[in-house]
Amino acid sequence: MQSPPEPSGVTSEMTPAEFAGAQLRQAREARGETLSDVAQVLKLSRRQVEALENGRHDALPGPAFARGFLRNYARYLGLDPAPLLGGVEQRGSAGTVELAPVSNATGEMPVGMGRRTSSKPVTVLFFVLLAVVLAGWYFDWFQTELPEEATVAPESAEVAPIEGGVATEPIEAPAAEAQQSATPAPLQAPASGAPQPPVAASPEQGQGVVATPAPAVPATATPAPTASAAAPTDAASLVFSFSGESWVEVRDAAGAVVYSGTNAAGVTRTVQGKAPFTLVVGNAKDVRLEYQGKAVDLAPHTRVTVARLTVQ
Amino acid sequence: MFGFLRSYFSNDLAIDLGTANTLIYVRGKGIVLDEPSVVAIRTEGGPNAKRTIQAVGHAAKQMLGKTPGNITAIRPMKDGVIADFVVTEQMIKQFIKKVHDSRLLSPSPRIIICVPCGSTQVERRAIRDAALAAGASQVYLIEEPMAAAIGAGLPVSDATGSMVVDIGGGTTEVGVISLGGMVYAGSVRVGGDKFDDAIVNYIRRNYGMLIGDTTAENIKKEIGSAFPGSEVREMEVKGRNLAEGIPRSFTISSNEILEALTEPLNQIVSAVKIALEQTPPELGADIADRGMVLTGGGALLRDLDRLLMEETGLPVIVADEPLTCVARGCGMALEKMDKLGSIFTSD
Repeated sequence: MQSPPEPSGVTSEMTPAEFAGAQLRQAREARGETLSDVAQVLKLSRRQVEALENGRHDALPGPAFARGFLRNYARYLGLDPAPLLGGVEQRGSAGTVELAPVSNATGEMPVGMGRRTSSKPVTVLFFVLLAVVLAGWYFDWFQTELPEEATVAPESAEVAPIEGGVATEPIEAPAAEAQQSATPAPLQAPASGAPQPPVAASPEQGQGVVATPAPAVPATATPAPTASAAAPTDAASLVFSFSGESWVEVRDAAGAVVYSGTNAAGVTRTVQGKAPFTLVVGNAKDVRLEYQGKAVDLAPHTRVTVARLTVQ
Repeated sequence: MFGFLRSYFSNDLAIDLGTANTLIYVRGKGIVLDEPSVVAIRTEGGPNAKRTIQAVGHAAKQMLGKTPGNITAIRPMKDGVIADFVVTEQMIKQFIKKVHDSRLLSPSPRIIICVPCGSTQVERRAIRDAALAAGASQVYLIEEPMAAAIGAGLPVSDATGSMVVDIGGGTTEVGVISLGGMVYAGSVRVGGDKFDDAIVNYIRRNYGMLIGDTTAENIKKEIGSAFPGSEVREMEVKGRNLAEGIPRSFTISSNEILEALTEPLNQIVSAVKIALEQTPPELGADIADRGMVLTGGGALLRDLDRLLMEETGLPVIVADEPLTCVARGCGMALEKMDKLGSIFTSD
């Protein structure tokens, strides 16, 4: 080995870096140069030259630089750098070198601000609309009546208050009749008719089916007390017998809703009004209908479960 | 999609396609080829007239300047970029053939090639196309200073500035790198070839002798230096005397070569100084602390680090094995190419 003579104070526990540093220091001292002289020539700081001589390579910027500085120093002192570099760690091989900067987050930045964000709701809206259209088409095609029933029901509820203004008259009429005072009724009617809630009107209407035939025409035509008595005379009657729960709507000749409601099994309901009647009967197989005492077969008019027919 | 299958058929390659030397790094194997970028082409006459490739690499370099009429020895790369597209393509093909095991299917590797950071789009496109024509399935480009810094073992991914000066055969690249990317990249078309030219011109001017490029290269390697040293070395050179037209021998000293090299060396020094000027101050502070790293064949010019040290007042170190730094850096990028995209350059 062509390395210079062992420097004083070399011990076997020295790391290669410390050994190299000790050799450098000895060579420098042999030339009678100070740390500052060396630092001046190598353009290093005094601190870095000291670190080199003490073998503290962790104080230097990194393995690549430590090796470079060591080589420069050795060449300056006229030493062969190869044996000194032998023990100094080399920056790792391909597998260990980190090439990507530190990252502690993930996620992508949006491309083309705004365009992407706006396109998403539009797409969602499009699909929602498409779903709605498809659903509507589906129900329309198969004539599933349940939703239709649902749409009719509010209609009747809507009708009720309008009719209420008139219908309350005959509904209240029995009460008025009982009191034998005709005059309070018409007065009360406009007052109480308008604000009367439809919720209240519908059940009353259902209850007072017998009285309902009176509505519209007779009620307005003649004073209240006589109306209820005169009405039944020219009215036709429909009798529904329910063996299952069913929803029924009856419209008279004028197209006004005479009766609309849901009936439980076992109920028999009589509806009177001016013929011809337009009927919509839900769950028709559980309903038996008599018109003017004669049975009417609902089966021919039934589609799926709902019967639509006109009787006169 | 079938990336996992590709590895069974082709090895990925990293190529340092340099003006003077071409190095190839094969994934998992390291540098397997280091040859001069020279191609010798023979023109055949007669009934089967055609042009065939006589030799590539070392064998072709032996022929440089010594060829008969029917053989031309070409260096297809000039100033770090392609000067002769077809020959470059053939050269890459030949080199790939040399390093790739012959299999049933012709190799179609993915290739990383480094390009000078000062090259134009057209020049990059030419390099990409040449590699594709040579059989690459995909080509990725990486800028030379980046590859050199990785190969020199600099902490490129840290938030500290690392300055690398890569003096190749055709170009000198100066790069300041931080966080895995280039902060500053500069390139001057001065390198080993310009040194050779400068020596040829100097000798013709001062001695009236004409020497070849290969001789000039030998002089440079033998006694060339960038900084006046204490010992003066001399070398005997043979060339043709221009006045007499007869080969003569003469002796030239290292101080004369230093004088001859002054002009190209000054260009390199000014490129480094411009880079330091342009570097953001925070990174400049890092560079002042640790200095710059020289890579490439030019770094082997004697005392070039001393010259830069004196001119800039900063520490300058020469990387381990400067000739292979770029190829090793490309290779490390190759090993990790599927995980990182930031170090590759787009066209």
